[in-house]
Amino acid sequence: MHRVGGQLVRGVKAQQKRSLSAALPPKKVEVFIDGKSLLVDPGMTILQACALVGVDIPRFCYHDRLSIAGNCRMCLVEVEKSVKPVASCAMPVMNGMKVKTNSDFVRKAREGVMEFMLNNHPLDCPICDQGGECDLQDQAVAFGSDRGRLQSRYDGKRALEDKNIGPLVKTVMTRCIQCTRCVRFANEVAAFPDFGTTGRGQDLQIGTYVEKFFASELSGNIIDICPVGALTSKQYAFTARPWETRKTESVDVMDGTGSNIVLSHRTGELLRVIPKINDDINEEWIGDQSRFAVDGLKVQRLLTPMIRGPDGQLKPASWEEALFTVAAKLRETPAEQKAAVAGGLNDVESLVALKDLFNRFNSENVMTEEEFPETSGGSDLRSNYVFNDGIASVESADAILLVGTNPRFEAPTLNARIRKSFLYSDVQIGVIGAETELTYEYDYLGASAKAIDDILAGKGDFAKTLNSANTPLIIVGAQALKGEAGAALLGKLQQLADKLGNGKQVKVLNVLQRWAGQAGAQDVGYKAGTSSIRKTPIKFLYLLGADEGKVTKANLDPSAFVVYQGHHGDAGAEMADVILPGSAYTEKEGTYVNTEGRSQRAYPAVSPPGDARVDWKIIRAVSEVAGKALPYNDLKEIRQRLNEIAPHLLRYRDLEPSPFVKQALQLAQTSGSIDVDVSPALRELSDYYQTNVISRNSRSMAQAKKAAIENKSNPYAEEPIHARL
Amino acid sequence: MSLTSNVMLQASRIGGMITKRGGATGLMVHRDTKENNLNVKFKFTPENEDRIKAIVDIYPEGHKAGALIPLLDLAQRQHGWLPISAMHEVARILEVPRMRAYEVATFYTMFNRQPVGKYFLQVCATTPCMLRGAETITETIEKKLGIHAGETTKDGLFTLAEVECLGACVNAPMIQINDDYFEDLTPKVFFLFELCFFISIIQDVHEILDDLKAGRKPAAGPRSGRLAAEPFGELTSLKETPPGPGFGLQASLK
Amino acid sequence: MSSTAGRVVRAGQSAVRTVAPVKSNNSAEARMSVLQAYKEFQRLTPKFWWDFGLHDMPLGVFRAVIKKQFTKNGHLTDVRVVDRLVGETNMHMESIRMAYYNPDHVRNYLFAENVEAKPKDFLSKFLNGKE
Repeated sequence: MHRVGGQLVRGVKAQQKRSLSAALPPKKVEVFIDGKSLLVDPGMTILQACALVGVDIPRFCYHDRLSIAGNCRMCLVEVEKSVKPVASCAMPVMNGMKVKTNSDFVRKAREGVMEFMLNNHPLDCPICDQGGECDLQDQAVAFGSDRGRLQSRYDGKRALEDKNIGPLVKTVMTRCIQCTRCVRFANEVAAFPDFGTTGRGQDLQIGTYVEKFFASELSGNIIDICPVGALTSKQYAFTARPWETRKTESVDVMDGTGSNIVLSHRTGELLRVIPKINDDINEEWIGDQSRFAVDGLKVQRLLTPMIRGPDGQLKPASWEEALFTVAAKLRETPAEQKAAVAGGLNDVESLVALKDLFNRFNSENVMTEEEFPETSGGSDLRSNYVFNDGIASVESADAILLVGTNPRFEAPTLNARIRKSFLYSDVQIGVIGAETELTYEYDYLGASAKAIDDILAGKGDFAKTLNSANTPLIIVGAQALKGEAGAALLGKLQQLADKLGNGKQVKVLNVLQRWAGQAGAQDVGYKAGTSSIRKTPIKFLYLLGADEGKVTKANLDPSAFVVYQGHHGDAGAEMADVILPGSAYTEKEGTYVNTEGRSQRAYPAVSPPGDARVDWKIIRAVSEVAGKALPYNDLKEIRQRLNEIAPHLLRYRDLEPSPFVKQALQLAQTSGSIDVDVSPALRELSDYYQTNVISRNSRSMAQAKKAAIENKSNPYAEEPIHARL
Repeated sequence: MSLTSNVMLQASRIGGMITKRGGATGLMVHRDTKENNLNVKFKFTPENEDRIKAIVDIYPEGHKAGALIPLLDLAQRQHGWLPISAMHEVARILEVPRMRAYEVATFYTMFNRQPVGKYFLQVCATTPCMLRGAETITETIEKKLGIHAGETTKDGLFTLAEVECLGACVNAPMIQINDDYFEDLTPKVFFLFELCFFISIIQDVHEILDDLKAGRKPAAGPRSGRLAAEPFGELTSLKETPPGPGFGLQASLK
Repeated sequence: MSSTAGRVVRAGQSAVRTVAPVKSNNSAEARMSVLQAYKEFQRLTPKFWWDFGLHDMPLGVFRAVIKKQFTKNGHLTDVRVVDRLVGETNMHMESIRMAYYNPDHVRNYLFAENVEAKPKDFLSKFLNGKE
């Protein structure tokens, strides 16, 4: 065991933005804002206090989730007894402070600051992507004066060259107002220290000094936080203005966390994805896959039903033919020879419909591609397979053990939270798995899961840390829990969790699912893992978006009939005899359960392309043609069915506590060797970009992966941490 | 000179990467050149390693980044200027990300990130010196060495740059060569014709440059015979003996 | 049972309410006004047929379509309702003369039953795609 990532330093303890169990609440301070009296906690800044009253002070460099810089000077307010205006984002409130946010003095200050900011800003509004959603535009209109004094003919404006930071983010550095939000984000949240400010004064340039790829899985977020059009999305460049687009709130399926997103679309075309604030899950960030992989939704789509002819070629067919073929085969195959395999991107409605269909034909053979052990109660006890404590609990943890998971690439927003916890508290992190470059310092406990045995026995420093922690967390990746060893590992982890969690608020053991549809599938009764297919000969296989190649033709009976229902032509479609084109997550109204077990609704932005249909409706149609029609015709009715199976599926956005942890422990199997290598599959940035069928077909993701691979041979890129002394 | 021709003159220096005004600090982005690329390696000498150890010991654990300025300066002294490999080496020693070293090196203009000659002639060109003939000094050096401001001589001995105020206004006009100031490049008040006044400047600068070319070390400091910045004639202040301790103290405290 | 007053019979009770006439006093007068309106409309029909671009069908067919619009209300007995419909017919005629209507809307209205009915059961809606 050794310490990795030593030069990743923790930040100064942040101001008390949220009170972490203080002994006594601090005495409140009285502030007068525009005459209104207000009682606030002492650590608050004037800007935050004003926000509580509803006064929004203009700002460029201040951001809720980044450290305070105070360099834009737009937030100046007048404080009585102060000759100079005060930067409200940085000044903490003091007792009896009288703040005026709209006096003549303040207005003049704002106009002056705005004039300075516009002095060097190019006249790019017509060609700038940020037009319409630009903070500079909005604040210039609201707080600036109507004219400037710059004589550009004589004084000139400074211009900077554009920096190349990769195929995802477009930079036009002339537009930069040097607010340094991107620098603070890169250094604090994304742990990419190569982004910084070179030079000073007029010649200050934001960039990487030497040309480098912005090698972070959260790089797209600098597009959101840049208040001007200096950092924009290359994929979305010159596509639309924000007032033309409609925004639909939805849920992201690229990873298991179910980050909230907003889909911007116009005339039936999806243009871009931006994050939606959800403090419980993704705060304000989303990973690059979630943001940029949507261009894969236009490529390689299944548009018409297809039937494989006698010559072995797939030919387009009509829906009636396809449904009839499928239904006929469904009816004639006996129940033991039928199987259904669901992939990871499905919504709960289609999963329920498929299971109902198979159950009506007396088959229980529905399973997910992702494996999960059957011991400890398997999928019956929820606490076995969800992130029990909730993603937000990471912030209050003081010891985290990561087993067989690389949260940096499996759930970037969760990783951002762990880093936040690392920067602002004393959390100790231990990793069992691969020694990868994580964005925080951690104790590496080895690649083999037998380190758990050591921890259970109390051997080693990290075991002591875990035992003495008040809120320990164990995050185990779902892919580490496969096979016999996985079952034993789950059992041992539950033992450890029981030992550590006695009398504490946290449940300790949390499973991080990689797939968005996995928790939902296990909630509605799917078996996890495709091993049973290899045991009996299967003559009818229904693949619901199963593209990871876990089941191949070789595993089936030679005369098997394979039906593939999904949205992209990938591995599953290739082996299918009938293809039923389904819809992707942006095209259907579905319910997704994230790795916490939180049920969320996704709304459609566009309609399924070509002849594709909504997934659960296809299955319902198959059932009708096959003679055993399922009892729901529209969304309300199928959601009633969801309610019958698992009522939490309709209680949206709530984190349900998972009981029965003790019972799971009783059913756990703790014998058996866990001496297996639990290194996660995603080790480096180039692994991150193309992990599911949508991102595999995405051009931006392919370019990003190429850039990440080339970056490894860039001599200017710093050596990975574990190569340093 | 008019603004446009100044700008054009500045522009013509950009190709050489050292600007006429501002020294050898270079651009705020890195461009690989023949002299400045990753193949040009940098390693501290053993004596410098000892110095590094002494410097870094000053700073408490976790704040080693505070030693960035001294170490970068040491690297510059060793190499003559600051190549990118030196910045990498300093970052490695102090265990900071390389960007922090870049940021510090680009912030300060005295970190020469472009190659300079053995003698970096920096002519102060701001107001007090300009009033006392700094532009003439620049012209003299340019004629003598055959280079323009911002360029280096072919033998790599001299680099000429006009820089901002060097803080020796009492001894104007002056130039700085590496770490030494050569001030008072006009003699004491010569009531001679303009031609003779002109000749004196040439003489001082010529002497200095000839000394340097020959490998001698010219005497630094004021060239007019003064010791430092004292008045040429008699003292105009500080004529009385200094008062002893207790001067101006109130009686009750004595 | 013809009286000057119209009769409204309430279902479920044998109560009969006597109401005052609006325009026609009895069904004979109502019939006369209907016939007048019909003849007036048929006189207008060639202009209607031509100006609204419905001349892809023979005029005789169009007259039959107009007649159908009248006969589809032939079952009505309440004189006031008949009066109201005659008034509407006169308003329609005025609008046709003033070309207020949109030819496509006219076509849709007159031939509504020819349009294929929207699918009602799940499978038809599914196959149609445009639920």
